[in-house]
Amino acid sequence: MHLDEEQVWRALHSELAASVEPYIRDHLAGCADCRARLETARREEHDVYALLREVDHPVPSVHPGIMVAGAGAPRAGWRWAAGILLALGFAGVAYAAPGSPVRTWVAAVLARMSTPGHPPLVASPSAPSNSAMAGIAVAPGRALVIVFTSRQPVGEAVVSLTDSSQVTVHAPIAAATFTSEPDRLVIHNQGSSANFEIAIPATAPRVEIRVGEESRFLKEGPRITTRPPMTVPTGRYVVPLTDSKP
Amino acid sequence: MADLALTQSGSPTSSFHDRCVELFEANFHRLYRYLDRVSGDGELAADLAQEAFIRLYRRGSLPDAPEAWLISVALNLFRNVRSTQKRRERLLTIARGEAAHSEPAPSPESAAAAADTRRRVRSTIARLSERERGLLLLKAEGYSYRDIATALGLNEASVGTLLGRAVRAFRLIYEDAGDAP
Repeated sequence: MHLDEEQVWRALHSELAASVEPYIRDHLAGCADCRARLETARREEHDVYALLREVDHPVPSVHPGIMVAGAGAPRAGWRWAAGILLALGFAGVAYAAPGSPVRTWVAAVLARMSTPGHPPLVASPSAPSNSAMAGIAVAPGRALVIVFTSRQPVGEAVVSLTDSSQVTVHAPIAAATFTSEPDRLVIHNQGSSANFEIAIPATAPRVEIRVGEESRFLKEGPRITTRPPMTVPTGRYVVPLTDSKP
Repeated sequence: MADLALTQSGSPTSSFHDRCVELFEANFHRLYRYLDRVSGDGELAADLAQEAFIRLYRRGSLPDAPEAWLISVALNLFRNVRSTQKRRERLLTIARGEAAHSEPAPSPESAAAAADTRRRVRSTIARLSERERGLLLLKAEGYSYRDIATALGLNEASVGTLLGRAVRAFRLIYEDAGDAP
């Protein structure tokens, strides 16, 4: 008596009940027909799985802390949390390093989230309290380039220097999406006419803001360079996101 | 279950938190992959997978079969999202842009062949019955028969047989899709 189909597939997937497994294995050892059926099932499944992989997109890097942040942030709050976790991905090696400030920051966030009535996850001095805003926080590292992928018909990025350890970018929800890469934060703002708020740690060694290919803001140590040049006594800098004026 | 529940203050216990983190690390990728294949939309899959884990955490205690629970929640979220016109439009946009999804191909011929394969696979996934699709895609991500049966509401004793049928159905439909214009 041969194995039934259920037994063949369970043998393939190691899902046989312990009580019948010895019998099934013995049978397979002595039955060429059933071994052939098992091999056919294995091959067919392998072929199908190979085809399925053809349509896969890359798995995003997401930190488990997204659960904590998202659970504590109603409505669109998780998008903000996603930004924070992207920041963790961006921090990458720094996060794993002993004594890393990112690790300390995450621990602080988790501790705060476990306390009812906790403050916002990342408090930037310039962060708006408006819940319709979303954002991202990244570690500035030794050098960070913030890229707005598109020029906008209207809109500007207001840059301020803070005593925070993170670069944060805020924008109205759905105004843009963010992608963080090593040393690079890309703001996909095609079709947007929103204003952005960017907070940069005063201690960040080098942060550049580009609109398209054009560099419009550069912080190198304490020195700030803007294009077009501007004098702003309040420590806030306005970076136009529109076409640059001749 | 007491150690996996909310404290009286409403804060998750550390053991619940730790268990959720373990579940996340063990399951996020495969839940994402499953949703990606079901939806054809990687961004949507990431959204839904994250939302499922957030709901698990917000729940405050673990269900009896957390892996199956996550699948069920994510699938329900997907069904809800799919029903909205806005999302349909987005999916169409993504489908139109799919040719740009792959890495640069070495030649136009191989690019066309790869695009055709993806089209056929997507078409095949879409034409499977919901049960076959769930069985095949969940097993492809290594879920156990028990989790699959729980998530899809099947008798666990017949999961192997149904999986075999799903594999054969995929192959037949895929070959048929190759004949389509």
